[in-house]
Amino acid sequence: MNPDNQTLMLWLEDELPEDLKQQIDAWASDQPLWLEKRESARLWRGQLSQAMAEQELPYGDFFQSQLMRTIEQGRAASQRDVPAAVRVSPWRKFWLPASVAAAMVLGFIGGTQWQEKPHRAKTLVTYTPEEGVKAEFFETSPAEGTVIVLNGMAALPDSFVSTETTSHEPQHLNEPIEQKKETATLVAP
Amino acid sequence: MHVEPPFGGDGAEETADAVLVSRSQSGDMKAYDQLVLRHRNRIFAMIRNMTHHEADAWDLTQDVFIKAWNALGNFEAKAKFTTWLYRIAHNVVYDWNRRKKHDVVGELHDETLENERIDPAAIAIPHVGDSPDQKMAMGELKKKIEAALAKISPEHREIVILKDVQGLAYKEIADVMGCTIGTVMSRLFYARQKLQTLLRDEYESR
Repeated sequence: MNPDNQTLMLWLEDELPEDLKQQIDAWASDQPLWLEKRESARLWRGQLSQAMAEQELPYGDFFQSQLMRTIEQGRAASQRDVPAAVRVSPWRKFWLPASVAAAMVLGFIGGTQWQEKPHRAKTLVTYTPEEGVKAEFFETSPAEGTVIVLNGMAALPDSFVSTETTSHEPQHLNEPIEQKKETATLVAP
Repeated sequence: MHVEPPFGGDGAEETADAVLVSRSQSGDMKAYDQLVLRHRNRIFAMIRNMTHHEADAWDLTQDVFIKAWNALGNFEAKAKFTTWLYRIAHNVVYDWNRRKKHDVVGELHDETLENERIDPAAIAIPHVGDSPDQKMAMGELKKKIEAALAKISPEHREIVILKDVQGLAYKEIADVMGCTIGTVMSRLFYARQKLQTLLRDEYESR
């Protein structure tokens, strides 16, 4: 039998399983060099182990008490953290996700329904050159119309009545005020 | 190949550990206190031999047992508790070394002793029988070994400590260091060779 390198190294370190060890022992019985190497290895390990394996940890009691205190503090801290997470009651635990989901759905629906309305000019400047005439305007959002009533104005002759109107273009607030001209059908009182 | 723990292992020790670990995993602090008491000296010895600094070794041993407590829930009973503990100690020392950027002055480098492959016939085991350390008091031997260990690389130092001082099997060392058995064998060979050279120089200089 010629054992391989790895087997021999394990044999030198006394790490072989019993059956294999016996085989190598039989092989080594006429190998004085190997037997000497194994003996030397055992002696070396024994001396190193004896000299250095066990080293009395200084202040052992303090070590132990400090370690246990640190662990206890860690446990207490983790237990303090846990209640904060579990503070939500089981009832809320159940309804919270459902409520969040419902809110998200409603938000989505609301978002799709909502349309930005064009901003209308809120300020109308009225000017009546004829004395005794007072202009009032009324704005109706649903109808998107503005009615200007001129109180005190003399009745217009039928031939003067204009049937034409101009379209009302929505204007934005950020446009200069001079451009915000409103035109409406003049309605005789 | 199945590899047995060295010297047959200690079944009773392992069983006692397993019971204490199980109780500790259930939150029994007294059981964990017992576990620490059983293993603190060897973990301290390993770290002390690795760092050569007693105060740091003391603190790092604390770290090991705190980390072990925090990770105890992940420990599986099929593993050996001591191997698992050494693995944590290995990581703690590794981090410490990285933080300190510890570089031992006068360290021998692998390339100076590089060989293609290991010949078991050239197995590097210091011939303690022939050396004057047989007559040396144990305290003096310890100092010599410590001085020699301080001059080799952290990886080689750890291998020697785990194998020759702590008595771990190749397989266990491979688990602790996260490498193959072949790597452990190779590193141990070179580590012993360096140590042998250093100790011989030490003896010859006397």
